Amino acid sequence: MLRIARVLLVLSSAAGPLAAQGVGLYPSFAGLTGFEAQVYNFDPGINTKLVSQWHVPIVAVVPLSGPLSFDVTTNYASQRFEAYDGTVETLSGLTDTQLRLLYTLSPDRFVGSVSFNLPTGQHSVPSTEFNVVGAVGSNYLSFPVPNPGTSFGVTTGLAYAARAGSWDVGISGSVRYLASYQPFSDDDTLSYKPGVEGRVRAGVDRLLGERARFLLGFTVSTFSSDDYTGTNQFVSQGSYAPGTRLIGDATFLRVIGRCTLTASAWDLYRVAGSDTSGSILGTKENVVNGELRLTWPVGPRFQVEPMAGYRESDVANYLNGRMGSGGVTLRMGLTDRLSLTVVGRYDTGWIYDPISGRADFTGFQGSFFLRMGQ
Amino acid sequence: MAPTGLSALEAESARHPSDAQASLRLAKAYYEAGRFADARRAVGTALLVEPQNPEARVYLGLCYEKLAQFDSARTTYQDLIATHPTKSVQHLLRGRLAILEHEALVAAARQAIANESLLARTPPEPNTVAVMPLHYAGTDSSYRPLERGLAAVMITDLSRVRELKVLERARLQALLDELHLSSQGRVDLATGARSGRLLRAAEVVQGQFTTDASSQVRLDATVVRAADAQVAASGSGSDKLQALFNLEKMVVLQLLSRLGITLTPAERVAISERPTKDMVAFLLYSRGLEADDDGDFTGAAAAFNAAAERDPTFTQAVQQAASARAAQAASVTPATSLAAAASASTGASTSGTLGTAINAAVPSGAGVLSSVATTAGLGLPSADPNRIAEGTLTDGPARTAIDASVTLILKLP
Repeated sequence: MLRIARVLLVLSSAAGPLAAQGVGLYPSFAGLTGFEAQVYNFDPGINTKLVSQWHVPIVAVVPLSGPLSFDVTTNYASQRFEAYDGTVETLSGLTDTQLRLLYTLSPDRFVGSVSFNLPTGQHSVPSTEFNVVGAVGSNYLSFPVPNPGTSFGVTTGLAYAARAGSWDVGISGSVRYLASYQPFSDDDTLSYKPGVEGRVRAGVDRLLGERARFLLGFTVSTFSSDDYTGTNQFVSQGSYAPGTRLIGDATFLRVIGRCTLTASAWDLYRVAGSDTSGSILGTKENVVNGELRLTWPVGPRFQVEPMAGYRESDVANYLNGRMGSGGVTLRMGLTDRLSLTVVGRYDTGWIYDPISGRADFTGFQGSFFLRMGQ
Repeated sequence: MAPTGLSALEAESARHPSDAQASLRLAKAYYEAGRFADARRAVGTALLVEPQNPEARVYLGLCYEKLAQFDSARTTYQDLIATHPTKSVQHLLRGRLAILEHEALVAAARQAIANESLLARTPPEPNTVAVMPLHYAGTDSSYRPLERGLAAVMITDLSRVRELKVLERARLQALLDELHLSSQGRVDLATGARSGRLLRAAEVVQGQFTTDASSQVRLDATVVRAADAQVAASGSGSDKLQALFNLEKMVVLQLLSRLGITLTPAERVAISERPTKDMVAFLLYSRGLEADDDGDFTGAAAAFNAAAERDPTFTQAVQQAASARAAQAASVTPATSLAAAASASTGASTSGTLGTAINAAVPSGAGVLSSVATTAGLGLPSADPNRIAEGTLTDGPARTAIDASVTLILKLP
């Protein structure tokens, strides 16, 4: 952690004079690190007993000369899977590193980016640890680090923002390419080549009077087919066409007295994928999430933010689970350039599928984030 | 309905410390009431919550101006210009910069006069030269503006000499205005030396010129040591009015030679450059300098524009015309209008939308970072779903085994 802090300090001091130029996407250096842990305990009913993850994020956004800036993201993550039959799987290590370069073509209007996924994470895992990898990738449970690692990748993107009357409109798109790799460390005959992803997002936001704001977004991702070479216990040689992914999100913020009420929701819908045998119904899913937050400024540099949330997951044509959440976030300004965010959350719900059955679960999330810079 | 009375605004701001608009309303009210220090504090509170709020940043610059914190005002305006607001807002901000430079020079002159006893004991900066306006000793008052124009050309020429540091003309002019010497005509050697000491210049160039009925011009100049008011060098000559620049450059070269300064060929070539071939344009430019020194930006803009129109290659006139036009526009634009224009300037208002768009298209940890409180702005919580939706971005073993179903957690082992 000390080393991370030193790196952030060096980046901060290097970026200082450049930030004043103010042309790039980031007005100044900012860095983030901390600790986040999430755990779910399942009652008997399904074999899974516990899934947990903790991670240390490292994020830095750095304005460079003129219109150029970059950000870098990586994590050290550790995840654990326990089953009622005594199986325990763990996986720890650095995750992939995303290095994103941003070039402001027109300030506050048009930005282009190229992002590199550097395979610093564990992209090849033993097949005996496959359960833990699959578990943290669940959209329903939504772990902070859903993937320990893949291969080298490049994502190019463009975003444009403009005013249209009272609305701010943002449109963006990207294309992502990932190189092939061996996903299983104990089976080097299987090679996996992920399909190319094309993504488009359109979003609008506006002020509603002096005290309210509304944001709406819609994202579509399509994928070309994944190709497999070789066969193992999970997959056979061939190709798999992931289904199109649709995400809608909406947020409404309203200042009420001294507080700010935020109502937000997102819905993720994924069309069923298919392979040579046809559509795979089990890959169709819909996850909807809603949250209410009330931000209460206790002091000029201290906010308390209780929240309540609800999530529902549908897989294929059945209800996969429901979850209710409650928690509190504390936001504190420690110094002029250092802030602390502490989050505590409790989840309770159930999960079901027609083959394995149903189980109730409880979950806890605890985290603290230190943010440097404005 | 937002409260408008000062006490009501103060109460509202106290009740809503994280409401930037409440703090900004209070700051505006303080500013209008002439309570600039209080306005500065209220703006600071607004900027804690919304560091990029352009309206608040304009008021911050205006407050700094009123509080005579010119460096801070300059930085604030320059930072705002760097955010690329609309051209009209940039124009107004450049105008404010021109105005505050004028204000800063006046303030510096007053401070120098107030600290004269201290400055008298402070050694001058070596090789620093100030050029006084050349006194017109003739009878045709239409040539009087050339007093400042000729000084400006001399400053340009002396600035070509690497071993000299020449003070800007407006700085000396502001001092002379404060000493009420501008209208007195020629100043004596002791007064010139005093001006030099106040500016910490080692030497002061003084002089005069005359014209006669045959359009012949005579120019005399001396270099006076600020320390002892002794003449260090002198030069003189006469020529036709149309050859005024030849005459001026001849005198400058005499002065440099008698000061023992050996010019490089490049310096000699640079000094030989004429600002314009059009003497009428030069006279108009000189009138512009006179108006500019008086803070008459409208008159200055008109004169500089006329000079630039007569000779579009007259660089100094073109630059001064742009600056004076901006200052003229800014001088007649009320604070509220400038702040409103900056706020409406679409450049600043879509940055959040753009950031969200690019983070959604090309995900990175920046999305997470934006949801975490900043020290300046314990801002509104983020409801950005990217982080959660990125669960489906996984192309590692999770997707490799997608056939095994997304409910893998249930089925295996």
